[in-house]
Amino acid sequence: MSSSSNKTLSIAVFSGKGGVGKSSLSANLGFCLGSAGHPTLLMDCDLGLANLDVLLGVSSDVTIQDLVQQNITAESIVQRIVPNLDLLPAASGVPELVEMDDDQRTLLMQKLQPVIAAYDFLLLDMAAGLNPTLLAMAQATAKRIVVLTPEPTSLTDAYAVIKVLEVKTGTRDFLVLVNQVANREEAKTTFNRLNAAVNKFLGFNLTYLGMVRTDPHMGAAILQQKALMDLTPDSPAAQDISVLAERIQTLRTVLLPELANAPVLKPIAPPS
Amino acid sequence: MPEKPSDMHASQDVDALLAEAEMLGLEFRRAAQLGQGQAQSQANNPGQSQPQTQLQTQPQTQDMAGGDHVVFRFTSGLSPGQLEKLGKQMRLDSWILHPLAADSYALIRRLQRKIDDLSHAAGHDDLTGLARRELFERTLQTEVERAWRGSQTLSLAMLDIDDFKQINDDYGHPHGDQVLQAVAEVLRTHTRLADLGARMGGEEFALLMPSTSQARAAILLQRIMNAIRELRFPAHSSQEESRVTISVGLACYKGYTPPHPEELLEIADQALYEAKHAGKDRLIAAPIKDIAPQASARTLVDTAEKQFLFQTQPN
Repeated sequence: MSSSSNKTLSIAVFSGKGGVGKSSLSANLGFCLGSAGHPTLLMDCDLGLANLDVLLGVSSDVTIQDLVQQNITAESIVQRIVPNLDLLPAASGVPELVEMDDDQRTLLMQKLQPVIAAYDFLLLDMAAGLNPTLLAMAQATAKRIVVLTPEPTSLTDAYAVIKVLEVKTGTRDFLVLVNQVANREEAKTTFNRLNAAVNKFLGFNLTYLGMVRTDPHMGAAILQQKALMDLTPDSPAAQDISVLAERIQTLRTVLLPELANAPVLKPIAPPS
Repeated sequence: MPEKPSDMHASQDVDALLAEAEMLGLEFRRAAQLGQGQAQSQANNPGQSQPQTQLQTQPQTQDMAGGDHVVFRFTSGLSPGQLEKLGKQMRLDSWILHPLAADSYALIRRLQRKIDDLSHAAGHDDLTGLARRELFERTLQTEVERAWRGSQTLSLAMLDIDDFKQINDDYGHPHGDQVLQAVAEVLRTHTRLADLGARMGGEEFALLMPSTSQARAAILLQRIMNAIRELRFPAHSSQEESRVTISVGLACYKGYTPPHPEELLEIADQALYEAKHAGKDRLIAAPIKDIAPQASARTLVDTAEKQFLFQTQPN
């Protein structure tokens, strides 16, 4: 619609299973990207049980859910966390809005469009599990990161989400991030297992994005509601996340020509 | 008062009836011939009468043979099928054929069918076969109520043929009628079973789409608009074929606020008006007034509760 070309890379971050560290990773990745000089917007898309605000030590009375009410602009709900890192917070469980319908989503996207263009990165922290919001947003973003841990249940749930997204939306482009691993070998083994299943049963290949080692500093940072990158930048997990952030920046550089002619978030076709 | 087609046939029918019944081997007489004085006037001017045939075994009594009745007496019995066939052959569409000595089931069934036909005709537009405004508004009321009870999205579109007056002026009214019929046909073929298309009057149509979000309704309406854009009408006077476009106003109700059918119609009308003003041949969707549940449904865990959870030290 607008003549100015898009430069924002939108990424949906999701996992099948809950509790795999998805929100902490999103928050810290955002923190890293911001520190590297890229304006980044974190969007809490867990409309049921939102937690990014808690992780980042902020609280807000106006949330994404309010955007679908009248007369509220997206600008008015954006919260500055640190320079170059903003948050679009969600409310914890407005029961009627845990799932938005396609009209509400369309309105939300319309209201977000003018705000998100100002950022280099848009990170969408999705709710765990399978839900219509995930199906819609994972189609809308340019890239998708699947977070899993080496646990068998996490592996199964990650596969399930990938399968549903492929079947329902035709999406075959996934980046895999293995969290809470002992070392690179464990991460590779986990990725290979998932990729082999996707290759065998769904007929395509996943892309390995990287890994984050198990690190007690992460838990400590969460307890203090601070970013790990800020609190203990030299910890193993923080170093791993820095590496991931660099890869994501490279990815954006590579994708820029492709992004230029597409909207930050593609319009979502209602399910037929 | 215009004559109904069946009345126009009546005068020739009375005579034809005698001849045809004779061919069928039936004996019957006019009621007038049973002894009433009006016999002659009725035979001459049957158009004003509401004739009625009766299949009976007893001779007709005098009070039944008043001016409003033409009574035939068949001496041999007829099956319901034969009676129906006879009625059809003799174009007795507006007559009630009552087999006195037979089971009345056939009669009731025929009456029911007739009532169905008539009530359908009353609710539907002659030219296009679509629902009329009255039927549409009644259905709208029901569907708005249903949406409210089930918190379901109801979509309502007003559609208006662009520059229809010009079409009539340029090509004549028969051509205009043809356009109306073609547009109605698109509305019929491009909608789903639960949708209701209606001709609201003139060149204005409406489409009611229950359980349909704005996003889906917009897709459906774009398809309808495309199909109408592709219609071609041969123009008698000129070489080129004429084309038409429509403007559409779309309103949605999500069932979160108490139902107001009139308000929904107004919103759709207003959106249509905007579509016309913005240059026609387009769809304008009005903002949804009740897009989300009312703000009374507040968050489950509020700011104070979150702060208490994290910032208060247990003693």
